[in-house]
Amino acid sequence: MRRCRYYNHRVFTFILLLSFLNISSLLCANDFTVSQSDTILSLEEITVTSIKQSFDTHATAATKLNAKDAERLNVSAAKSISEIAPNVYMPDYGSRITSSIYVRGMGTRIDQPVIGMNIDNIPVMDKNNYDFDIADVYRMEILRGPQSTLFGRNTMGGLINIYTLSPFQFQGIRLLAEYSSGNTYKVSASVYHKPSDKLGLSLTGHYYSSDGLFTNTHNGEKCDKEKQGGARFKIQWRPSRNLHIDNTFYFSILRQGGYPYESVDNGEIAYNDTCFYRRSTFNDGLTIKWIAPAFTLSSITSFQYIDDNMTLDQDFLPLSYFTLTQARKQHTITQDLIFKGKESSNYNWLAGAFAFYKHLDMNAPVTFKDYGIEQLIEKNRNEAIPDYPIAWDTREFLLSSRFTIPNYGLALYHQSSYKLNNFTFSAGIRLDYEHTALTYHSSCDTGYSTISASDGSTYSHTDVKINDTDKLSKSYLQILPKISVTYSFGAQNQSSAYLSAAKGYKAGGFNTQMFSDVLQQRIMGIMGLSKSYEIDEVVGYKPEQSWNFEAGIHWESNSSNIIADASIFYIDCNDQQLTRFPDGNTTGRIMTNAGHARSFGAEAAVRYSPVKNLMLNASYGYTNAKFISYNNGKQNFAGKYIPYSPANTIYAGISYSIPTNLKWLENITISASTRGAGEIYWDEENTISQAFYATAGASIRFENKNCSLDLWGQNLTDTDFKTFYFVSIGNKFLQRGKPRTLGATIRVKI
Amino acid sequence: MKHLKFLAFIALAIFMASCDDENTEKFNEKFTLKQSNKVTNLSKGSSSVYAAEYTYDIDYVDGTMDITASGVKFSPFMPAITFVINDVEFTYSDKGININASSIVPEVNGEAMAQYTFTKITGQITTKEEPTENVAFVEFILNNQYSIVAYPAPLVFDQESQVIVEQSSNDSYKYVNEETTCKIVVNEETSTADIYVNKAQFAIKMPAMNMLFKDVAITATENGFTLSNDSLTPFIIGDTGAETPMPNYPITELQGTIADDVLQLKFVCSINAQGSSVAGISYKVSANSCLFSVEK
Repeated sequence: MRRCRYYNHRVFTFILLLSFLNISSLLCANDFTVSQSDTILSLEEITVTSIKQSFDTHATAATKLNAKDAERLNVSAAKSISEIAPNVYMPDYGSRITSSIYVRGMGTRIDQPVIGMNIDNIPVMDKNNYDFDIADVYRMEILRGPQSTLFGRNTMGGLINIYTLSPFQFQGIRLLAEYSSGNTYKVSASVYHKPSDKLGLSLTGHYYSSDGLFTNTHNGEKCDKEKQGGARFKIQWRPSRNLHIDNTFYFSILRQGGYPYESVDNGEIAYNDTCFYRRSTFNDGLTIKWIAPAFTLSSITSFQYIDDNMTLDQDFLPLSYFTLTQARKQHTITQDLIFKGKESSNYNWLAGAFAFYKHLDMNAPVTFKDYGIEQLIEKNRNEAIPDYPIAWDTREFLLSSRFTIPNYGLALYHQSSYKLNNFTFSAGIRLDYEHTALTYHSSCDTGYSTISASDGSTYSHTDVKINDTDKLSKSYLQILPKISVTYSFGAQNQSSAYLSAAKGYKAGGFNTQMFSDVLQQRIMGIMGLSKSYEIDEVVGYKPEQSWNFEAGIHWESNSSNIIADASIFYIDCNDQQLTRFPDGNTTGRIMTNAGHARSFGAEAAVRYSPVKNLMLNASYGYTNAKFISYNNGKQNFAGKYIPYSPANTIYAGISYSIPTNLKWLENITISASTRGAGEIYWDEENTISQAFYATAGASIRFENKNCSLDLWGQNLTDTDFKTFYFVSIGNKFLQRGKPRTLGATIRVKI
Repeated sequence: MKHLKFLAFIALAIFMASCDDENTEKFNEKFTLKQSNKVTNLSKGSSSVYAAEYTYDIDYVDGTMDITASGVKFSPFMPAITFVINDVEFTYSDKGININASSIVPEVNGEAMAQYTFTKITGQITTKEEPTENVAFVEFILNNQYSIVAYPAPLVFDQESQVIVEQSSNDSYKYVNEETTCKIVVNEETSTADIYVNKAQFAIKMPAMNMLFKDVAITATENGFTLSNDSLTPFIIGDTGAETPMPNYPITELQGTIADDVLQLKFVCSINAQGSSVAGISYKVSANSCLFSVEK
């Protein structure tokens, strides 16, 4: 009887869902251009919304996802495309502040990113703002290889372009509701309206909540719970045929636990102090495009504000060592002016000027607690001088650090291309100047007593008073050239082969996280143990520069049912910026310019639709990235693999759509995929690594013209893999990848 | 292309202007330094050390300076006197000042003392941002009877430093450190010196320590000074000057010489702290350092 009731319950649920689909099919539909089936052959449709790149993408390795791809792969944030784009790896660890991206062996975990991001042509100027959910993604492009000529700083590895749905493309209402493992749910609602042929408006809101997947065994609570919400308001106005004005305002609020780091020794996530990440951000981007007879002038203006707070139990143990807070408020203004010549059959040109100003105020206190004082200060000191041990005045004290970092940049750029028969020759150059300054104020007010061990009397008392303030500044001037030659072939010249050489650049700056170590060394200096760091030398780091040489091919069959891309590359990187933890009982990462590194590899991707309803996708990336010379003063890492970057990335997917010929259920689409990465070394010595791993995903979609229901699973084999490794105070930690996740997503278009 | 040339021109103009801004020229300078006078009776070969004060009044345009020495004694029974030697010739570079004058008659209270003649006046002055931190080393001969060497006080040996550390029980152990510096504060009355050893480090994993060796015997010789102490308890010194004794790190067999501007210092440091990872090991330390950098 019990079994019968169970099956009756499942049948009832299924009937309910089908009824829902049937009812919604009666509602009015207003499609946008993407067709329902995964067998669409228009996956490579080119949008003209990219102002700078409409003639440049052919000489670049690029992965493009349309809205259907994004839905099928559950792509709602930049991290979701990790491994789908070959040699692009965005590990999911820590919190949403950690947007570590590795492309072709190049990357970093703090400060400047190796890859830039544009959303609706607006540059996202802070890597801490890269990881957020985006509703109604219309198109996503991942360009690999330096984009520095047109986009400047921090696009040394590539560029992610995200485009959201336009009210000119779709009018109506879009709804989404999703539930998945970890009591995770997501809802979004969008309204797209076109009051006239000249005006389009859209309003999108979304909310996400998750109880988390990982448990802190110290308190029995989930440590990676999250709540996030936001809205986007877009206005698109076409007062005339020659004038386009778009404005997008976006805000989001995030409250997240995060940091599910487990100890390598016991496999447990267990820490006693609070860890969280909170972020409020709002951006406004105004794009004005004026189409004159001989040229187009575009202006892209943005204002970006971020207010975030990262607080960590820095030792990640159930012991009171110390905690760290990093609270920031940052304002950014950008202005890009682009002149583009009218597209002609032979010569095309683009020129522009870019400027930005960022102002960051940061408060980063470190609180030393009882166990940290005992183990890191008193113990070390008293073992050295046992006859006169010290006793700290209090069992908790504050190391305060405040920073003000103004940063501005100016750039001029130009790119020309000349077409001769099937060849296109392209050359570009950018002159990029940047200035950054750091004003710091570090303070501490505490003290200790020196005891005579022989009789317990106080030998002396020493005040530990620190009140340091200073200003540092740096300026950089970069010249960033790029050349390429493309040969088009095929019945409609739909295929091309290319050679390119381009210089990339990642900005220099100041590593504020080092100040907690600097202050610690100041305290040791007061105790007679000389400081190890000179602030001026260690806090600042130089720009990273690279040369990228690449050959590739885009091939599309005449019927467009096969699209393939392949490329090989060689990257030579000087002054590579690398994060490492300093030796000894300290924590907090430091940036160093690692010397000289190189990377070579290959990438391939293919989309194949042998029959109308069947789509096969696959991509593979191989990277061999090593240090040519890197000596940190104690060890020589020449010949070692660059850490945190995978040697291989792989993705494969299959999707088959079954038409049902029912009005209320037009298609059932079954999809399966696998993605993997590895081997990934976690340290410069290459002594510890994550072997190659792969995870499997699958989904089944029931859909009609107006709505769809996806039942999906990710990491179905519950593969155990690690996404991050680090050492803190001599203790080793790893973060696990997400376990098996099951979910259901309902989408409705009205 | 025109735009690029214009930008390059602007950049060059800015660069050249900034170069001009950094090139400030000195015309004159005056500062007073405490110094230790080692006076050697050339006929007897005996030396003594006395505290003194020297004022340097420098005319960079003229290439001469007036040196006023006060509190100068030539013997323990003689009262201290003040004299001035005027128009001492020197040359100047970004490395510092080199003094070289052949023969000058000093003045006392504004009157030339013809019965006294200073010859072979040589020396070096390294100027710092703070004039009170300037390092001056001057020597001259008085009437071919006395040799006077005015040492900086304190003596800061922080140039061309090299410390070689070996272990008494392990012949293969050798650690070289070029960060350690020494400061020697001479007490002329007691003929002792306090030796401050900064960033002392005997092993790569040992934290650098600021150590103080108190009351080391210092003897003036014809060539300079000698330092010696059979056994002492060092102190650890914090940035605020707080001193803590370290009886578990006894210093023995301390021997040192100061000749011209070069310090050579040797000692043995034994690690008796039971909690230390290097307990029971004795380190033989040989340190060499200079008052001035090699390029004079």
